Amino acid sequence: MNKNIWQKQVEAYFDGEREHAGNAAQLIAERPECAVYYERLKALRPDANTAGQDGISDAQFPAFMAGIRSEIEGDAFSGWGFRTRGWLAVASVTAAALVFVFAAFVIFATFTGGPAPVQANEIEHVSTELEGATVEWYDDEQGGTTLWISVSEDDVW
Amino acid sequence: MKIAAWGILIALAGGLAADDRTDTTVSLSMWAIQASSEGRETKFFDAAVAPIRGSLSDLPFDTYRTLETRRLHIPYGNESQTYLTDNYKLIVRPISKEEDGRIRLNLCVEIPPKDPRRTPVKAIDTRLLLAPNQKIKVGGLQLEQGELVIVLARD
Repeated sequence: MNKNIWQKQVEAYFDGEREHAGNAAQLIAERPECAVYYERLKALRPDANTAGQDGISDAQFPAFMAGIRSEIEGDAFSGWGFRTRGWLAVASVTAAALVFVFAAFVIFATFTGGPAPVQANEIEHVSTELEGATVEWYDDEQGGTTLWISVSEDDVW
Repeated sequence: MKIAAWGILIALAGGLAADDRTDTTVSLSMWAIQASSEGRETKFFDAAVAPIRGSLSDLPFDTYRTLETRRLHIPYGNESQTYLTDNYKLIVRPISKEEDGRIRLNLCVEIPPKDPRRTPVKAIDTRLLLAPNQKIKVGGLQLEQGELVIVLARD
């Protein structure tokens, strides 16, 4: 709904308000979108003169709808506005995709690729070269593991 | 914009994937303790043993004195050798770190051979998986007074 400065200047020029028109005449001459906007104002003026009637005639309807469409579709004359909205749309979609992918990654890592639960100590192999000695092991209450060598009394090394 | 988004995503994934499996060194604390029975009513632990006092509570001794304590930082595949007494040498060799966080390592205690021309005798040789924040305790090795108890704890 916001109008660019040049639009206001063209409207002021159209209404004969030279003090607010700025360089509207030059803009209309040089910039096609300004010229189109000026022509549209000229086309709307006769219809506006008939305002005050209870309805819209068939002849007025296309211009009426064109005005509504112009406002709804985001000011077709404003290129900057269109680009801004497009950039924001891309940013929003990208951010949403990022959140989705990150969530999927966390879920995947948790249920498939994540570390398995930590387990207790595990003795894979144990031996001794002491003659007549044996080695036993057990887990203690703290979760640690004890290896105990039992050597016969007469064995001296 | 899309390139930036993918960059952030890859960096994020990389950060999460970079867990401690990228560590190349194992850090362990080692205590070599002389455990003996001196007829005390209350068990005695010297100051250096205090951090592992609970781990010794199940042993049938009443006196615990530290012979050696050391922090070991050993790269995987390397070997750390520590003389605990004149006779006992502790050899620790970390092999790998498992996906569940446990460390596979070789632990060996050697004593000199009766025949000096022969190789040292392995009083105990074990390969084990040591869980995070857990300890392994080796006992039953004879000393002139009492027995040698070795405690290894993951840092």
